[in-house]
Amino acid sequence: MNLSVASGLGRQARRFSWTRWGGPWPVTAFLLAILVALPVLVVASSVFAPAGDVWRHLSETVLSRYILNSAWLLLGVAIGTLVIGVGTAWLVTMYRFPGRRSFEWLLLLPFAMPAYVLAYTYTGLFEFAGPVQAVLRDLFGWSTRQDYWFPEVRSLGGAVWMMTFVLYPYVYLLSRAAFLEQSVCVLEVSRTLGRTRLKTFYSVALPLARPGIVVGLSFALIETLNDFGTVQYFAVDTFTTGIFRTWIGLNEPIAAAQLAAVLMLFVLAVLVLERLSRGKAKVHATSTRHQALPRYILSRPMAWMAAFSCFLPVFFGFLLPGTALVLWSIETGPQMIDAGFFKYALNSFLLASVTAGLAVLLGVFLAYGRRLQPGPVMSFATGVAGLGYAVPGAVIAVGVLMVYTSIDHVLLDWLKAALGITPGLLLTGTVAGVVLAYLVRFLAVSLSTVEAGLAKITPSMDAAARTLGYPPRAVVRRVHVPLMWGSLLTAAMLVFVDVMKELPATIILRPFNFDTLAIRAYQLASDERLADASSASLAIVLVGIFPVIALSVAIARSRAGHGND
Amino acid sequence: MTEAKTDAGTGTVAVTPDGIVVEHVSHAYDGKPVLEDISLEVGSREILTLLGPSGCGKTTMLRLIAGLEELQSGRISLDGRVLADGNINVPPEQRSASLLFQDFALFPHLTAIDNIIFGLVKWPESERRARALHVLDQVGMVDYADAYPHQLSGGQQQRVALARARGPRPRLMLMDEPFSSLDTTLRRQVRDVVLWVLQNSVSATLMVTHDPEEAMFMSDRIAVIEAGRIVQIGSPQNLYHAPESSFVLGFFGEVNSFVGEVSQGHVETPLGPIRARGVQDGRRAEVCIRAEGMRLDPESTLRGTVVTARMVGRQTLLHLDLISGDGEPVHIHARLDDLTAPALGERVGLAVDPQQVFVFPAPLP
Repeated sequence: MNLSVASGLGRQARRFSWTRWGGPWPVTAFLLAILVALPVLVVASSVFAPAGDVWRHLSETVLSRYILNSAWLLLGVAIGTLVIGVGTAWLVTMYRFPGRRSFEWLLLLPFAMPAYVLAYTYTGLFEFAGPVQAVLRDLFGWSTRQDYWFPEVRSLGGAVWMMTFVLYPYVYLLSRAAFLEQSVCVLEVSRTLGRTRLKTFYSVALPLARPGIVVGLSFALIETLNDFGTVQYFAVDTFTTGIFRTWIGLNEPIAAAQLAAVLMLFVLAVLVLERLSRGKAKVHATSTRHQALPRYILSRPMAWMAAFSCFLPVFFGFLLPGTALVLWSIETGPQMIDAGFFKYALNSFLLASVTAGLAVLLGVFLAYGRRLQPGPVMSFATGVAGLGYAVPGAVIAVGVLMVYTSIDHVLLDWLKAALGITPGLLLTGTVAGVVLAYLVRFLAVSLSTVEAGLAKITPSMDAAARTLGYPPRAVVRRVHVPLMWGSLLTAAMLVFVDVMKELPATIILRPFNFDTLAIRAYQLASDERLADASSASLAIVLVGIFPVIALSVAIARSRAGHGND
Repeated sequence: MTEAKTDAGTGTVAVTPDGIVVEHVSHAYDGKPVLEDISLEVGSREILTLLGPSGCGKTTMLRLIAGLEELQSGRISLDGRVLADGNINVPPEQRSASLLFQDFALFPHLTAIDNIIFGLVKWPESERRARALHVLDQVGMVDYADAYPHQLSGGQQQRVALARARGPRPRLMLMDEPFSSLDTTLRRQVRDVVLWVLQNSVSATLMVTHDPEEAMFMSDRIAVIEAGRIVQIGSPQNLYHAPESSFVLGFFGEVNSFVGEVSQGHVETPLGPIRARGVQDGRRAEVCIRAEGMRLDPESTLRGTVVTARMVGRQTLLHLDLISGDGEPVHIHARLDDLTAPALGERVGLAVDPQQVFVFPAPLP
């Protein structure tokens, strides 16, 4: 049934069928997939390269620390995001309490905060010289560090805290979706079979929602492994910081790539976990008849407790750091927002828009390719194109450098021989390399959004338009464009914001003296100018709020009962 | 856009026959045949239904006629104009064939009336709105002209879809299981509307369904399809009274079926010997007796025990146990027009209506 447009594109030509013809589509898609996959594959294959002494040196000194720190970080973030994400999702889905409707979307706000911005802000607030400890010292008459104990922000625990509070929305979002999908019937059956509400939650609702929760958790863990800014700033040695140190500090690209390969093993473990749990998800449709969930009514104190529980993550993940950023920006903004600031902003904007445009273009190309010419080649290409999202930015950057530097040199030699010009490294020496790395990492974001939009246009809509008198191009113009427009904009916006926030790949790949807002915030923070970093950070956060709003609107619309389907 | 028949009125068949003509169409997916040598004609104003179980190739037939699938062999023509054969493949937008979909396929970004106007692309701009309102009115949906599809119920969406398909006055209406996504009550209402609208148009209509009752309700003629072939084609009465195989018979009502060897022109069944016309001695025959072909007869020596009696609509459905020749109980069903059912466990006399007994050659075991 997937031939509707396909046969149409064949027009009058007899015995001409796109499905039977190889065509330019799969070939291009295949090349594209290779382009995207190559950096990742090269990194993975570096495991087999002889590294010699450096590797031995690494494994004797720092490797175990990298492994331990990364593992603790993963564990801490997993527990934190699960408790906060699942807990708040269950509360706003199943109970009535003051502010519930607002919390539904307020809980998404920390999405707008990159973890490193949170790290800078918390440090600024809670370090020894910060306002919080100063107030405490004033209040209690303490003077030195020896007089009292205060938790150290710049520590492994601090990193877990920062990442938990910016990443729990993944778990919240997906477990909430999973709870909403459950028919109230199964929950009521459980109650009639003698389970209490709490037991029903543990023994019915939670197991049913598990696949969704695990998907959300895997997103959070992949982002944890991707993080560079926080752990670097907190001096917590993980794989990501190790890759940087080995590459830039020790100047050992192969050893860095091998570290990156080990990091990919972690990612692989997360993905396998996610796949295993998703594989069973098909069993979990509980009922075709959907009945709106009735919300349990809580006693007054309990209702306020629920509201407070939902308020805490919003406070720690957004309101507190957001307020601090605003206050600092008011204070330091007049000096910090100068010509240089606008140049960084422009750089960020240009990088983000170019990448977003290209990512949407490629996403449309792949999504339509898979629709018009389904087959193993297209499935492979789209699968590979989505791979990059799971790979940490530092790994991609290392891969891009390894692959495209050699291509660059070939290109350079050829240009010199053929035209007698020496333009410098075209790919890795310019922003082209940065954009390439972004594409590898974020193509999945645009592809999945475009595919979701395309899925809403059923094959029979194509067929209906054709039989109502429209040739294929008119079908695209009159049906596909208006229906896809929103999805394309969403895809562009998501990629745009992801690029704005991106740090590790940008640091490794940016051309000399080419700074973005994220880089600027990172540099100022590294120089301990935390208040000065606030303007750049705030700009990133403000841009990041747009997709959160779009997301909340989309969720509100797709709720059962007001669905477009 | 003339709707008048080109028939000269001489009573002879017109040189260019109205309606759709399908000749020797076969089709295969990846070498697996789904349609084999299908030939049929649907005249203007006629409703023909392809009836068959799911996966028998009927939807493919519709898609071939609509031009959504490329014809592999055979020929399809409409009103004497070849749509597809070995050389020609008219694209779907030039075929004047509207397709009504199982999932309605309304465009979610357009209101009901805009969905219909969408299909009036070949009409003069000034007439489109009036035409759209007219067809909406025909299906009783004129009050919902400005509603978006997601604001409409399933039945309402289907009526708008019908109006959209009717809008451009297609020469041919194709309907793919048009009622299957509606619930029973709604299905009856919408079916009624559709039949009424179709009878007031001059198009030829080809419908596909797996529901025999629906086929009988809607069709002038029915073509029963089994595994990609037409096994019988005729009016609903013809198919009901003269089925040519047990497959066709089984479509139109519940059947008690017994297989046995023919000897001396008869087959031995738990209901006694039945005359096996058309099957040679020594061959196996399948004897099929409709449940409504059984009646109670106190005089009869053939007796059965009532296991269950249920009122189903205006009839009573009896489950009976008979004792066969070898002493084993045999379970049969009888549908009686009588609403006074016998008591459970009662032994009743049974008679068979010879009109409702059919014998077909059976394959060797």
